[in-house]
Amino acid sequence: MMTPGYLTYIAFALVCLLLLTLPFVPAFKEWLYPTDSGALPISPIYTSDIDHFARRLDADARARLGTGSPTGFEDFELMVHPAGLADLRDARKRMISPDIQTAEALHSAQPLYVNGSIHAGAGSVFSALYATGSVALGAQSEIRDWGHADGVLVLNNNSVAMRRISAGMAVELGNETWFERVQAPVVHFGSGRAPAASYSQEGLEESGYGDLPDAVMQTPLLCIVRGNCSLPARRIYRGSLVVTGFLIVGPGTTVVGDIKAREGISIARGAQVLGAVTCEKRVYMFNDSSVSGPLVSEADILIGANAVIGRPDAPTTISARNIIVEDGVVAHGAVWAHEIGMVKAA
Amino acid sequence: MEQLRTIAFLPVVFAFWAASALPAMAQPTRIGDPSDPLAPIMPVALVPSFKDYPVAAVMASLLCLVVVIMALYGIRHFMFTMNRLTGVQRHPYIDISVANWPMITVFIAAHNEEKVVAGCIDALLNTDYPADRLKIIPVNDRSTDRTAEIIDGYVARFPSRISPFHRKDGKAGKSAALKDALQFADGDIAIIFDADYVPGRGLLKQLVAPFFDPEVGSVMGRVVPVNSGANLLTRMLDLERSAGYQVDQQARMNMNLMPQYGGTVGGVRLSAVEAVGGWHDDTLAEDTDITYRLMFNGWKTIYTNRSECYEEVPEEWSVRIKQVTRWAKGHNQVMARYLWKFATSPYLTMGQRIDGLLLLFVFVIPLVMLLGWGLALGLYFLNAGSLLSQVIPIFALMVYGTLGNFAAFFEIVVAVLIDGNRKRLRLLPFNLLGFFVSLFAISGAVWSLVLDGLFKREMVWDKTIRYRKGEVK
Repeated sequence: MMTPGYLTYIAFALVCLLLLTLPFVPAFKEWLYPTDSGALPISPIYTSDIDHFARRLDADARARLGTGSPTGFEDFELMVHPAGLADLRDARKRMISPDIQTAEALHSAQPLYVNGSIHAGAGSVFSALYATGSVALGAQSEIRDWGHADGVLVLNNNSVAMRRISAGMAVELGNETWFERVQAPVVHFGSGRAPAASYSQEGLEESGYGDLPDAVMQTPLLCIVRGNCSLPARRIYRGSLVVTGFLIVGPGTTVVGDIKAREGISIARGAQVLGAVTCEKRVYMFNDSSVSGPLVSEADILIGANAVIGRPDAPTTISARNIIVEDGVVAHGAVWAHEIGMVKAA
Repeated sequence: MEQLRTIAFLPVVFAFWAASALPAMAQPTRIGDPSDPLAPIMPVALVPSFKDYPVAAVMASLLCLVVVIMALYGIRHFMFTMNRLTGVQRHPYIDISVANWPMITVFIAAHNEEKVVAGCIDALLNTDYPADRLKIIPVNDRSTDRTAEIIDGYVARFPSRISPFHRKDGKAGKSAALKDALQFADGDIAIIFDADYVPGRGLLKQLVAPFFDPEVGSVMGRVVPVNSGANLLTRMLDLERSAGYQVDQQARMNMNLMPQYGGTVGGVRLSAVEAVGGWHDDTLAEDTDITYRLMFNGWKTIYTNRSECYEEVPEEWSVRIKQVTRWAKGHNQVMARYLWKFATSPYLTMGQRIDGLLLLFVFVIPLVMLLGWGLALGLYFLNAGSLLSQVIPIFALMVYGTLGNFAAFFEIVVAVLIDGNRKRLRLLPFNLLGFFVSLFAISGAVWSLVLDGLFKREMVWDKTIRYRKGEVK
């Protein structure tokens, strides 16, 4: 005969089983009547092109102007005369304007499509700006979302260019300008125009990584150094180098290959790396140095005056959490500062 | 979340009840006449001594070890999940959108893939990677269906872009086919897709970008089930995949541990592969094999979570069991080969070594868990005293913690929420079913691997069945 104690246990077991089965009620419902069973969406046309939004606005504007295919998003305010301050202030939808040449500061909360060029005065502010010609904004101007010019895009000193700035020919950012993501065949930083750097490999002493302390040749073209590493001045090294500590590329030295260091990289004055530079920490590029491949840091990049990144015939990418560039730096390709980028006067 | 907390709490209650109530139902052992209610009850030690209860003591010690191992894996899952919630997220190479892109070769592994191979080739032809730096090699591995005909049709239309590799004989299996095909690669980077994958337009650049880092030996993208809605199994696998990539792989990347190259939606640096002994075709898990060899020789594997690509997951349990069995055998083969080399490699940090070793043993753990269950039951029937009430609840908690709260609940929940889905989480309790199936499939695979070794049997590659009826766009 069952005692009350056993009955208690059985009752307790039944309660537990009931509680255990409860979560299966919504599970069964979701199984039998699915409400969320689709595949995670992946866009087949996804790319990280910087001018994605600019192209969309361009397509919509061209459709509105009758020079492009319909897009279904052709609702613009079409100006027949150059948009002025009042027009932009009162705009309730995207605007299309012919050439704008003014010395006054323009403010627009709506995206502005300029069928031609726009030159506006100091203190101008735009949310999104596209020009089929060039863009030139005076000092202390601001582009808050994105800006694109098919020609040259110029932001004068003390401007702010958050988000995306791109141009078909060149971008010029004045001193003390803040930026985030910039892309053009050539990007000039600061007011100076450095003469095209000429890097000669004549007179450099051929050296091998095998002579470095603690060097291990991983492949015939890749050497790994455990610890810190310093490449002497005025040498030329061929092949790629990985350093687990801090790497110093000596003044005037050339590396024909990629370099990577975990603790930091310093590329001295006049040194050049004909390949990629990747680093888990800070990268210093001193004056007149150059890097031809991607320059990537998971921390900060500081680029000295007149340094050159990328080549006109081989644009590249600079990417870091923070990027500080000095007057006269030239980059070919994309510059992406995740938190903040700044042009520092020399 | 409240509902999840309730779900998470119930099995713990049940485990404690099972551990504490059941022994209480057993009749106490009395000194002298067992039928004499006044006879004193035998005192039971907390832990059985080796002298008095040698078998029980050994079993209890083993059970304690199992508990510690389970706890380690539970902590690991917890750390990964917390890292995804609160840690710094690393995507160091994803920004490289403009570069002097290197010459690459894309291999499409295809064995009887008439249903899917065209979709993969079309997608690769539509990629934004410079066409003059891209060579596509569909690897037709002894197909008996229309795969060869479909590939040749594309070759006729795009002769300068596609160089087919028709393999008519040779060793069976993807790794063997790829080994033969790799010799036709142009450039130092080989990107590999299975034929059922449909790469997006920007995917190749994302997968190639990490190779600008000379230390990178292999790169892995994220795999997303395309047929997630087909049935309960695919929906459960969808949850599992989310956790595996969105949390596990990305957390390893964030923590600079050991992301895994998965054999598809990824690539390898051929000079690195050559430097570590070449491509192996005598393994069922060539991806794990290459991951470990690269890692203990000083190369890195990079995971790029935003490089997503669709794949098909099994829609039938039998296919799923075969898949898991193959993974388990291949993975354990790698463990047997490289355990010592990995443990003693001079190139690894402490974190990478621990993570790599835990990963190496991951397909042994189900067997260890089964052993733990056996030990717990055995101890119970041996009447090993109050030890039961100490160890079994802990074991139950750890088992639950490993399979439930941290892995199947916490990790999946966080992964799916990061992906932006919520309602599919209601299916979570069913993952217990998937867990039990994997538990026994993996344990069987371990046993089979032992027999393979003993009787020198050759391991057989089981291809995963495709289900696609129309083209994926």
